[in-house]
Amino acid sequence: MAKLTGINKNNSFGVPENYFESLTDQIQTRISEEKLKEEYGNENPFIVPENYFRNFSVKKINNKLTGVIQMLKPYLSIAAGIILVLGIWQITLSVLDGKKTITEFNDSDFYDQDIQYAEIFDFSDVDSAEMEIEIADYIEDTDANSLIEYTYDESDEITNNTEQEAAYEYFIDYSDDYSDYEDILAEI
Amino acid sequence: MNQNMNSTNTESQISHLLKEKDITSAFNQIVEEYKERLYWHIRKIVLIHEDADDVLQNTFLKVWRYLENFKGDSKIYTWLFRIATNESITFINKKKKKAEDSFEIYEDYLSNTLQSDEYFNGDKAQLILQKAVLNLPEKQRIVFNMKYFDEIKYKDMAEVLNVTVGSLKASYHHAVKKVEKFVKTH
Repeated sequence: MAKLTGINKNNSFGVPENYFESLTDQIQTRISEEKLKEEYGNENPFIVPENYFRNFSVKKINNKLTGVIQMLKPYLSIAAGIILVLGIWQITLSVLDGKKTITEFNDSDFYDQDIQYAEIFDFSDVDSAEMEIEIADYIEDTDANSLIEYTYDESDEITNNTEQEAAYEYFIDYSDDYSDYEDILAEI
Repeated sequence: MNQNMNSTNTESQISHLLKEKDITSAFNQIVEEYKERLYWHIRKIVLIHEDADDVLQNTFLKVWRYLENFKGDSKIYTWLFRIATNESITFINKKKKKAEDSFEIYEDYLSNTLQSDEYFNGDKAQLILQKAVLNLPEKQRIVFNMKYFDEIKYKDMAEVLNVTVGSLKASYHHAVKKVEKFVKTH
């Protein structure tokens, strides 16, 4: 029999810090958990549409056309802005002339645009701040509408109303985030 | 349902593809391997299928974007679940903000939607349990879902959520107590 007299009898095992302080809580948690599982179960009560996983694809990457639209978005905004400025100039000119509204312009008026543009610079009473707000609103509206229209018309992925609504929601929700994804989409 | 979050084989195959700079193949394999597990993780946070689908798409979009720069400092599944969790929280916060702007409570909306959701298959008891979970603060809800429903080990959860095992245990303890209290009164 080996001699044990020289061996330190102190406990050389340790436990994690605060183990015993939290042990009571852990046991209580376990008991409560078991009771809940007995009464309510822990099975997954959620289901997915038929073949959802089989047909799953990362649409937001695969939809290359969306990428193109997203990349064009800043330019569309600029174009819409220019159109709006021209429109406001025409309206302002008509109002100040007191003669015509924009709906009354005919072809010859259209071809006379250069003259009108020249004249507009003489108008000093146009509220530029107000105009900027209107331009900003218009750009925002035009932009959103373009995207919504595109989503409804062009996307092959959209097959029912729910998906259309989801796509609509996506563009509304994430319209501020488009720039983050431009570099990814550019690679596709 | 005890999910093995980490499949060693898959991890090594994906790591190999990443080392070979075959990002597209690595990404496709990640989607195939993890789409279901990530979906269910997200679904239990956002509850509604359409929302879960949206968040899953956003998650993979982020994965695609950053996969090339994935250094392998953490395991792939840890990285994926972390992105999915963050995307879910971001999504919920946006929804909450929208609801607040309309003087509504997002949790009430979810609770009502759940009752009529065609993709919720639970009985009355499960509905009460889900409502109790819905009543938890966001992070406790995530911890509760991962531990109670998915039976994920604290160690794995700690890696995904980037918190200590001790704080996870404390969170789960509080969550279970709150759920217990809720179901007793409903």
